[in-house]
Amino acid sequence: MLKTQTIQEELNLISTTVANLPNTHPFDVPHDYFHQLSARILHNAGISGSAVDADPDLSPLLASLKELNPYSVPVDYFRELKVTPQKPDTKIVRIQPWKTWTAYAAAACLAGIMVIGGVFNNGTGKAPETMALKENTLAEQAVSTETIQSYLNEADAGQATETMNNETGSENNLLVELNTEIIATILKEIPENDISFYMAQTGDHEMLLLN
Amino acid sequence: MNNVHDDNEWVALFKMGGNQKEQAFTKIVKHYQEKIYWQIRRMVVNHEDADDVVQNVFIKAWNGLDNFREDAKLSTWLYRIAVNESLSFLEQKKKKASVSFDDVAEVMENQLKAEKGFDESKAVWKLQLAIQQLPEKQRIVFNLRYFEEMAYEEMSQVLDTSVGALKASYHHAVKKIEEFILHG
Repeated sequence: MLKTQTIQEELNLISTTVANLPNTHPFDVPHDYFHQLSARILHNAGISGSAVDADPDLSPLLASLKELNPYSVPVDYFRELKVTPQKPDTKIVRIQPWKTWTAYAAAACLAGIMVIGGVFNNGTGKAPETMALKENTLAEQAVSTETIQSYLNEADAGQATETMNNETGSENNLLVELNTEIIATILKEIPENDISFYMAQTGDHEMLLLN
Repeated sequence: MNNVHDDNEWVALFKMGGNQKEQAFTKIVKHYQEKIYWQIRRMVVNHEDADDVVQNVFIKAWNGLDNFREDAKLSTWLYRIAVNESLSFLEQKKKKASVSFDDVAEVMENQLKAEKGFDESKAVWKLQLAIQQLPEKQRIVFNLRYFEEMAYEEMSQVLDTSVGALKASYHHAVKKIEEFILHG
């Protein structure tokens, strides 16, 4: 291949040695490499290959095989071939349509049971309180108001008696604890006027008690 | 040789989709496959490597041609993909081998010497040995100018570099090759 004039002139200006070298290459390629390269590129690019069939230059062998068909059919096959149109499919009706509803109902019941069980299991801390309140309410309804009032009156009276008994008991104990001689000594130390005044205020039964 | 009219027609057919898309792409591949292959082969030297890279280039073209804006020539766009794919391949090769630039040049030289029919006494092989000594960018510029005879303006679009920088690169590359041929 001869260099164009422009390239040659440019090279002459730079280096006459290089200008005199041939601008051919020494490399070799396999036989028919370029003939098959385009087909391989199209194949590797994932292209279908219809273009290869359409272009006899690309692959003459494939192009020549395109019209040949190795398969055969019986004589007059296509003439006798009849296509019978099929009837439209009959609509299919379910025999037991309620089965669907029962399935849904069973699922709903099961879900309800699970929810209720979950509520009771989660509220175990509050359940005893609720039961105690319920029992109190029932007891209040069973006992009448009068009964409750009389019970309270009796309770108050009993408490008062008990208080008095307690007080009397303490005085008696005090008297028991004091010896008669000590009492007489105490009385001697008290003036007669004070004693008379005291007896006039408290009455005879107190005096009797002291004697 | 096709012209810009053919390129535009193929791109338009490709963008229409369907069976026409495949037919248009087949024509594009058939038209550009050799030019793209040789550009890659001069970069990567080995045929099997070049075969892998050229297939990647056209698969990328298939995936990206719908978005091709036609403000550049189809050939320029394909060359640009080829350059990027070649450089990516060489970069991966460097990483795999964990070698520096000098070592890569040695590896490429050894690959060249292993090529069928290699004869260092012949000018064509000596020139290839000299090209393998060049830095990657200068090698691309030299190949596109010397073998493909590409105009600097188009090369500027392919490599996204100014025309002045490309001329300087080419000048340096030719001088280095001359030095290698004479004293190498």
